[in-house]
Amino acid sequence: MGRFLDLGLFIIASGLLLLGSIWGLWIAPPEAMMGDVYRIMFVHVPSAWAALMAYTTCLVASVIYLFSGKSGADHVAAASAEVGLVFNALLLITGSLWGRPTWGVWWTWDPRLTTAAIMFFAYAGYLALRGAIDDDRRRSTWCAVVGIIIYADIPIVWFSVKMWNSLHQLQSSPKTMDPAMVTPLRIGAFAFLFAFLWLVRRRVVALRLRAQNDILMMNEGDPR
Amino acid sequence: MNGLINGGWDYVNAAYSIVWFVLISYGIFAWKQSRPNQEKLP
Repeated sequence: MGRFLDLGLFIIASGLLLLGSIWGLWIAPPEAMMGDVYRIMFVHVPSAWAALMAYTTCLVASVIYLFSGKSGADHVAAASAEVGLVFNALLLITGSLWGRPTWGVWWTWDPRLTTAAIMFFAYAGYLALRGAIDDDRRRSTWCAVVGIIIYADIPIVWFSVKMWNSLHQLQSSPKTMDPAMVTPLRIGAFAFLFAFLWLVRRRVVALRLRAQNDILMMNEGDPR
Repeated sequence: MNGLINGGWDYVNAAYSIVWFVLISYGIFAWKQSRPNQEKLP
């Protein structure tokens, strides 16, 4: 069952990524002011949504771990933070590539960009903390607490364009966009959603295998 | 109308290339890491 689910998620994610790229690059019309460069939106915005979804999953799994103490929840928190960091990196890179031709700079200390960068480094620190503590219980507990604390940045990222005078535009939604541009954005969003689900499942399996391996090694007296 | 920005395709191609490269690379890493290593298991 799990194998079929993984295969299904992989096929849907790959297919939608391909379809979204073709639609975004060649079928969607150019934008009136930005011309073709706006097409970066079809990967930039889904990267942001996927990163926020991953970090929210990390928060929920961290809370569940603190209440239940189940290692499965800890694995989900670790996997989703790692996958979120990958999407967060894509968000910053594609944003920078969009900023250069439209704003004239690769980077500026705008509230949205700054809070998104803080989000990236906070979760990079979270993963560094995971690697720094040897004891399983202590690592899981400490990381669950940190996973909850650093989530405080996510609402700030989301509302930064509304709270402050930001160079970054407000959140795009289907209501504010031309219908011809909505379809590739929706395809991109679902592609990243399924990619996120597949990646998290794979990383959880890897973490579970590593945990089982560590127990076996410990029982055999391996000092690793 | 092609908008006010010329040469936008260079940035678009770079963005899509990076996204595809990162997702494929990380996908291969995630898939390989999630396969049991028989040598380590008794």
